Amino acid sequence: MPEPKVVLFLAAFLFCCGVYGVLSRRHLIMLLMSLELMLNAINIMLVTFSRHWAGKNHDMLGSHAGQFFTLMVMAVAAAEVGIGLAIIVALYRRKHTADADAATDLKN
Amino acid sequence: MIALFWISFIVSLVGSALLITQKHAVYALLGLLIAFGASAGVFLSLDAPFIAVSQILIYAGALAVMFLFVLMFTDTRTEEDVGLPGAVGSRAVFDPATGRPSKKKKKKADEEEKKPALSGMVMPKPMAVAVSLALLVCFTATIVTLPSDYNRFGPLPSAYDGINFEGVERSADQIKTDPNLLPFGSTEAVSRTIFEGFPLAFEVVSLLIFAAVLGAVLLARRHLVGIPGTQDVAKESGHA
Amino acid sequence: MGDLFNSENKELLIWAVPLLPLLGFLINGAFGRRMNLASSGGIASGAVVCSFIIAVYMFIQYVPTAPIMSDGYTWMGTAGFRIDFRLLVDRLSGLYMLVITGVASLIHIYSVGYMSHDEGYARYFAYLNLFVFSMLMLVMGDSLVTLFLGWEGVGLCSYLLIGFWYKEMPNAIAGKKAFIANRVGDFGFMIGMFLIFWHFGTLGYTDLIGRAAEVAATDHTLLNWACICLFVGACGKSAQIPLYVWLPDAMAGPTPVSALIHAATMVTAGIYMVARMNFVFVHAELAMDIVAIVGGVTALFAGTIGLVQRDIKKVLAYSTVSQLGFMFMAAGLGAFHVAVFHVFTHAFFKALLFLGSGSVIHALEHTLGHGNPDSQDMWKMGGLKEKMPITMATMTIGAMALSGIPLFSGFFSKDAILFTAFHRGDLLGYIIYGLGVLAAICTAFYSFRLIGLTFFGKWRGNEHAYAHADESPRSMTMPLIVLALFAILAGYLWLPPALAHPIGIEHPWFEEWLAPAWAAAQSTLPEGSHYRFSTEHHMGAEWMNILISSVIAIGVAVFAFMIYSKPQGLEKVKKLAFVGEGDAQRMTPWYKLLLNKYYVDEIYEKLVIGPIRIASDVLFVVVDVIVIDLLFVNGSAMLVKASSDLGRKMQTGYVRHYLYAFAVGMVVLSALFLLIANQR
Repeated sequence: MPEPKVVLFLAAFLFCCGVYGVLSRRHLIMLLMSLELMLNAINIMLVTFSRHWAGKNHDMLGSHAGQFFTLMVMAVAAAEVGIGLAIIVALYRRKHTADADAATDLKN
Repeated sequence: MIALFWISFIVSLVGSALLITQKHAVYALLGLLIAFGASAGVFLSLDAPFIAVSQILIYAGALAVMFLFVLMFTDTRTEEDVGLPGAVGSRAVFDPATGRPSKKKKKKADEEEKKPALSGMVMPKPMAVAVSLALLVCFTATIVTLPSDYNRFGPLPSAYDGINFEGVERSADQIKTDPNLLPFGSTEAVSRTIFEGFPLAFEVVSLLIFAAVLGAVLLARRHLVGIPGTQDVAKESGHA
Repeated sequence: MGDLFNSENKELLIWAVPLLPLLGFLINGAFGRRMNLASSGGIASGAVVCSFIIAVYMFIQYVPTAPIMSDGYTWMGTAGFRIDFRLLVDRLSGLYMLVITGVASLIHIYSVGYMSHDEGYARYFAYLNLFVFSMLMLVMGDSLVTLFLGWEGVGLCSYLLIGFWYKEMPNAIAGKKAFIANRVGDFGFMIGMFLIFWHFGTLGYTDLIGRAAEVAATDHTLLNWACICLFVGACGKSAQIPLYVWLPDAMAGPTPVSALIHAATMVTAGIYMVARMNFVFVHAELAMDIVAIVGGVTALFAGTIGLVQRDIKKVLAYSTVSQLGFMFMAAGLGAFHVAVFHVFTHAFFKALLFLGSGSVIHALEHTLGHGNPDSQDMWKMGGLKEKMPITMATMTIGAMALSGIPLFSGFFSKDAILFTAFHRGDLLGYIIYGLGVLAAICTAFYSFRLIGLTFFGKWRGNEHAYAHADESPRSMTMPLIVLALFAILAGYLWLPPALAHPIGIEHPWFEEWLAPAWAAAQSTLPEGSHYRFSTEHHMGAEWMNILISSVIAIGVAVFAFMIYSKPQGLEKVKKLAFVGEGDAQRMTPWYKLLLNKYYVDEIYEKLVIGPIRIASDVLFVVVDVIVIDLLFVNGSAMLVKASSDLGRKMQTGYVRHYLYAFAVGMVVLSALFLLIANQR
């Protein structure tokens, strides 16, 4: 069994990788990918806490709540990627680019 | 289990590193996939087989394919494809005659668009490194200062009573024969949690996904004659 | 075949009954346009006939010994709420199942001929199959929820079929009217369901009947409210005052539809529901009294309107409302078996009358053109007996059954209802009895007025139409003959004791058959309750009752027939109805009142629809335009615009800058969290 703190550190590291990716990328699809990595890090954290709770308290609903929320995050991530990619396609139709810096029509 | 965890640990580090360093979008996607697969291994080592399988199915199966498709649609493979790095206002400029990116016109447009006020606000890559490292330091410090019961995971009950939702100690044979005894993380335990513990949240998420499907269809559709709100592709592609 | 029908296949058989019509609906709905008329009608009729045969087999083989319960599966289930979906065929639902599939089979066969010239042939049969499926779900379900599923299903099919010829505006409006009147009732029905679920935590009949003693001990106020709400639903579906207005308008649909839906099956769903929930209703005395009084008043009210209608189908429509009133009378007096018996006999003779009128309309439409109101106006008919002998003979049998001429089926059931009311022996009983007798007089009168005007006397309409009027094809007359047989014979399943005892029948079949359906309720009733079935018989009172109703029925029928089959009689009627001559001719007030159906539609228009329209106009102007549009939508937008004029100076439009703001904020927050957590 791994140690909880190690797993949490892995999650934190993945999350920060995601943050770096989001900040440094200008290709919108890659930006979305980094966002997915951040969500994945959160999932790892939720599952860790679920397992940690199950080791301390033996009620079924509480122990699995973390896993349930992981599923919710997956569902929300799927919805988000669906919308995000649709927006990218629409943007590409309009401007022929997937550059994050090209979509500046909302400035000022 | 511990071996699986450490392998997954290293592989996911490699995958995420690939994701953030690769210039080519398909390689970056490969890195993301590796990171996702390794995360599934982490879930398995944390006694969550159902989540591990869902992870593979949803992320690796569905999302990755969607990314690939959109990469294909937009025909933008690398960072360079969408413009020069490090400069603002340098998005691709299209030649109306050929419909393809034109380097000459782009240079001209860059000159025109370089406004001092904006170019001053561009954030360089080192700054991204600084911010994410600061975040990592904060997180790590938080994790290190967690109370001591986070040093190791406690023992699991051998099975839960699926009717009373309580942890009960039963032998392996009993778990096999009694249908109401559910091991931790099993599909049945998770689904009971969903439908008996959080049915409303489950329904709300289904609505959300429905809305997302509708939204995606609306956003990505082509111009429809006579329907307001859709873009006329042919008219607008000339002046990107 | 022998292998198919062994007891292990009960499960298959019970599901086959409702699912065969559903299959027919799917085939006709999906491929109907590409199929020819014969295959489309054949599939639809075949599906219903097959399910009728299976129903008969199950009825004979299994139902007498024990109720058949299909395997259930959980339809909805979360913590504390669970609804099982399963089918139950016991003696009550078995009987209904038989009547529905039987009458529907005949009407399907009849429709093959009747609708043969219609362009929406496949669509018609698809709807008809869907209706049969819904109706079977309604009666075969094991819980109020399944019943409600079928309840809404038949409502939908009714809407679709009333507006079948949707290209003409009045038909579409009639469909909408039926739907809305039903929705009002459904609202009450749902509240009744919620009340029962709230108190007992279940909606399954088997569960509830198992707890009949607990039901009996429940607070009667709650039961009264629940039953009144359920009855509101029944009022909508079974066309009782005040929600009956949709049924006469529903005659806009094709005539076989009127026969199937608006006479024989769907409108009796309310009675079925009340009979099904009898173990609750018997403990809600106030609700029972309301049921009885509403039934009685409706019977008389609709009967009087029926006296003056000129449209042949409208007469039958009001007659249906009136007969449904009779059924509720019986149910409200606790004689659920009598109510179901009247449903049973009524299904045959009313379907017969409707199909007969359809036959007449079909013959006249041939020359007058489809949708011509003259083809339904009885004042422009007459003497058709020579042209359409089979239709005339069968319809006369139907009219005799409807008016309660002795030895026809309607006589036995109507007599049982009147005797129940008379036998109760208190004020309510006598009031109901009086209403019933008056309504019975109206019934006999309008039935033979219809026969006299349509088939006897001289032709009063378009000569050309009369010359070309002809007996309908075999596929239409066959169902008429079969139904006529049942209209005579159905009543003999329950001879009144005064007739049954002398010939040695101690327990008539029908009473015996349905006894288990009421057993649970009867066992919980206190001694001396009005709703206990008495075992003793009063021969004298029964003979008197039989004599009174026979004399009334025969006398009134002969009287009406004498007037309306002769030109001199018609002249006299015109003198009664109109005053003055030529242009100055005006209707007498009572005739005008009846012809305009007591102005109920106009009253609803003024009292209900008008205020709602005004209120919605006011709401539109005040709430929508001023409050929501101006204040909320535009107001908030202006507020946001004003404040964002300040904030937008910060916006660069670059996604990355927002992302940086977000990441830096995250760093700051987690650093703060770290500081605070370590200080504690």
